[in-house]
Amino acid sequence: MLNDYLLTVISNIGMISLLAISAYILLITGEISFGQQAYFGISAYSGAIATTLWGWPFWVSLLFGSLLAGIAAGLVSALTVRISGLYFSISTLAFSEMVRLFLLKFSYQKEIDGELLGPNGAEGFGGIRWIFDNNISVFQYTLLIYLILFLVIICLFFIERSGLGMIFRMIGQDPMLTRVHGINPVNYKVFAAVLAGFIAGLGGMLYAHSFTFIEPQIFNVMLGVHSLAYGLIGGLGTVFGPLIGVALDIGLLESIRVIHGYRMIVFGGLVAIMLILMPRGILDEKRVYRLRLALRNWLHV
Amino acid sequence: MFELIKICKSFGNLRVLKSISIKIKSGIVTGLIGPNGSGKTSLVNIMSGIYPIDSGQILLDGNDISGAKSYQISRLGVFRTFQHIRIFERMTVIENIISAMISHESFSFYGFLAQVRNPEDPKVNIAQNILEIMEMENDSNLFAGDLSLPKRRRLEIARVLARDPKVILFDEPAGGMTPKETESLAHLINKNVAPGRTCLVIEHKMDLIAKVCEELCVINHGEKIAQGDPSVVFNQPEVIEAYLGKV
Amino acid sequence: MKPLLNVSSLKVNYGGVYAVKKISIKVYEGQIVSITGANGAGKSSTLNALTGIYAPSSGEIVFRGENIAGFHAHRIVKRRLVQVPEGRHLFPNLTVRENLFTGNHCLGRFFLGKFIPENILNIFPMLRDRLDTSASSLSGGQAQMLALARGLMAQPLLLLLDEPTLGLDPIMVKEVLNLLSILRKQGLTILVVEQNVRQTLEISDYAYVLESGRMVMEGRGTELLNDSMLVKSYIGFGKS
Ligand SMILES: Nc1ncnc2c1ncn2[C@@H]1O[C@H](COP(=O)(O)OP(=O)(O)OP(=O)(O)O)[C@@H](O)[C@H]1O
Ligand SMILES: Nc1ncnc2c1ncn2[C@@H]1O[C@H](COP(=O)(O)OP(=O)(O)O)[C@@H](O)[C@H]1O
Ligand SMILES: [Mg+2]
Ligand SMILES: [Mg+2]
Repeated sequence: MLNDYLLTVISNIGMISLLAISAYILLITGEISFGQQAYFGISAYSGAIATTLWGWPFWVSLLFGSLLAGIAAGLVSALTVRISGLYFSISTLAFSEMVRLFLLKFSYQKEIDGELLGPNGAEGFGGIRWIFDNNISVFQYTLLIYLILFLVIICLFFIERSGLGMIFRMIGQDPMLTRVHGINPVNYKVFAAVLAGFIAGLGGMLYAHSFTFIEPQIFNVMLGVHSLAYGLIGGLGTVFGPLIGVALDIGLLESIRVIHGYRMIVFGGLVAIMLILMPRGILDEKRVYRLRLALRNWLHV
Repeated sequence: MFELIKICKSFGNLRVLKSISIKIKSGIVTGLIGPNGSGKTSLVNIMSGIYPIDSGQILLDGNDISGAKSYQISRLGVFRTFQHIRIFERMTVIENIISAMISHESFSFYGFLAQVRNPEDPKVNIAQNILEIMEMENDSNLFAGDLSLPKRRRLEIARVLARDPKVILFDEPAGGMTPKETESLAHLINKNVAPGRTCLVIEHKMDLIAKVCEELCVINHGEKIAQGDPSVVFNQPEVIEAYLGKV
Repeated sequence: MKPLLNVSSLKVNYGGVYAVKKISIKVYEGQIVSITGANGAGKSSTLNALTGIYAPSSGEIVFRGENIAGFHAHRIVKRRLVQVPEGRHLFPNLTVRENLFTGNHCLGRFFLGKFIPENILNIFPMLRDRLDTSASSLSGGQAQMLALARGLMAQPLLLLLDEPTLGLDPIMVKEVLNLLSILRKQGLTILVVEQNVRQTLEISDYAYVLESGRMVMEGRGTELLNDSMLVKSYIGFGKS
């Protein structure tokens, strides 16, 4: 029933969702980042190096890659925290391109079992065989992706309901007023960036092991633009917003074969129409609030 | 006591505050009036740490807070409202009030774990009580961006109450209100906001000033031209000349 | 005599909720007509419908013999029916001078003007010193003055003012209200929404009182001033 093609689409949705959530976290704190794909890429490379070349266990490598991505995001954010708006967006774009250009030159190969493995500049990084070495089926790997996605969503769900989530949204709406409330936005913005980098990193590491081959070209700016658009389409009111965006794009558009090849055009049009009709996405703050009230009433009755 | 000593502030070659000194008495409401562009809002921006000063000293209860950032001053118990209303428009009324109550200590895990959206949270109860005081109890689930102007102004004050500061700086709290609405605002300030607190009120509506202020300070061109009992200040010729106009 | 502006059974709704319910207004040439009422009564909604900022859901708006209901804002402003909106709506990144020119621009010229009439600057001397600073740096009252001046730059036939004295100091309030009388003497017709009810009624030829979207009272300005019901419910504070 679940053929491999379908499974690939489903696991793709899961991994790209992590990237979309990472862009979403920055969107609710009021910043547009064109550079989340860089953290996706940093973790994909470092995580895959850890499993393939150093023989580290999968979970340790996953944490290693994601932490590296989070630290990189934190450093970039600490440097750019005082600029915002367009300037912030451009600096994230510049950083992500720097990462991509670095990967194009980055070569670190080792002989493993008589085969030369590891990243080799533009030729990419093949033979990330952890899945095959451990006899993990596509289905099992998809379950693994969704387990991690589920944990991330649970965490974010609680963050959104906590004071921290409220501070993120306060900063996103009016940083000056937030300061008057006695909250220094700097710490929280860096924290949001680290969190977003870490989550993008989870997605990137999973991505590398799912496709077994990665190259710098994958982590170009189009990936970042898409991940931003997912939040904007799906809605900025809840963490489920970006998931809806991903499901619409990859799930629906990709699988309707008729428009295959025109997907980017249809997607671009969809984004434009959505931004006009629902500027803050399908699940914007108001709809989420109404849904939450309705849900609460329903649970009480 | 809030004390401003010889404060100077310029924007480019525009000298907005010219070595102005004001003592704001504790526990009473002081009015701050002056013509358009005389530097009232700039003064409040300086007192709340939004603008840095060029020279001079700001003392809060004897401590020098001259270089403090706005979030630090806020933590010392000074809170303000804005001439151009600032509220979180994409949050509900009750969330706006709760936003003033969440942990404002430095980055803390208490803030991380506090379940503010939980309807059983004690903060929600406090916020509901404040809304009742402000006569807005039926609006708690509306989005702040959809409120009418007097309600937005009231929401700003509700937030002040939630914060429970020692010192409140009001910048034209009755801006855009009708005389009737101004009257009920004056009543509200006298009954629920001012008691036990130090307040500074900027306003062009003399009806409000006359109702709430026990002390009045007048500035013009960035200099203080009068301070004292309102009934005295209102009759000073330089105040009439610069601000009130001849009747 | 035919009215310059004749509004009949105007309705405005926001997503099904009626903010203005069937009101009629007549403005004759050379008059000052005022609209008062509590906040949320629908005053701004009425003005926005007249200038096409928000399309009315039904009703007729006849300006100089032409029904302009439902026209886009840029077409209405070219007929020199000009509104100074509530909340100023300045261009914060343009200088004061450029903001003034944008008022002129609405007459349909392609290039911005280069000339600011002296009399406008004489009314607001404070703006003269600030012509080349950005509008975002103005104080609240100064910004309101700029919005008024920009409205005058458009050489209106009928000027709609939405709370023109918002944020102005007492002397400026008197001056602006005085200015309205002077402009009227020069032949300008003015429809003004104001919260200084007493002073506004003194200078207006005719006045309307709105309450939750309905017209509850109308009459000559001085007549309404003596109406005890109006005084009690809107003017408040009893004294001057
Ligand atoms: N950020 C700024 N940059 C440049 N000039 C400024 C800035 N803020 C205020 N000013 C100028 O400083 C002067 C005082 O402004 P301020 O806002 O304090 O006036 P105000 O007394 O509050 O007046 P109003 O009653 O009109 O609100 C004005 O001339 C204003 O243009
Ligand atoms: N853009 C809008 N969308 C929805 N409701 C609005 C909008 N503008 C005004 N309203 C509502 O219409 C009513 C009349 O408002 P308004 O015309 O601004 O009153 P006034 O100018 O008399 O204070 C109010 O209840 C207000 O909340
Ligand atoms: Mg001011
Ligand atoms: Mg209005």
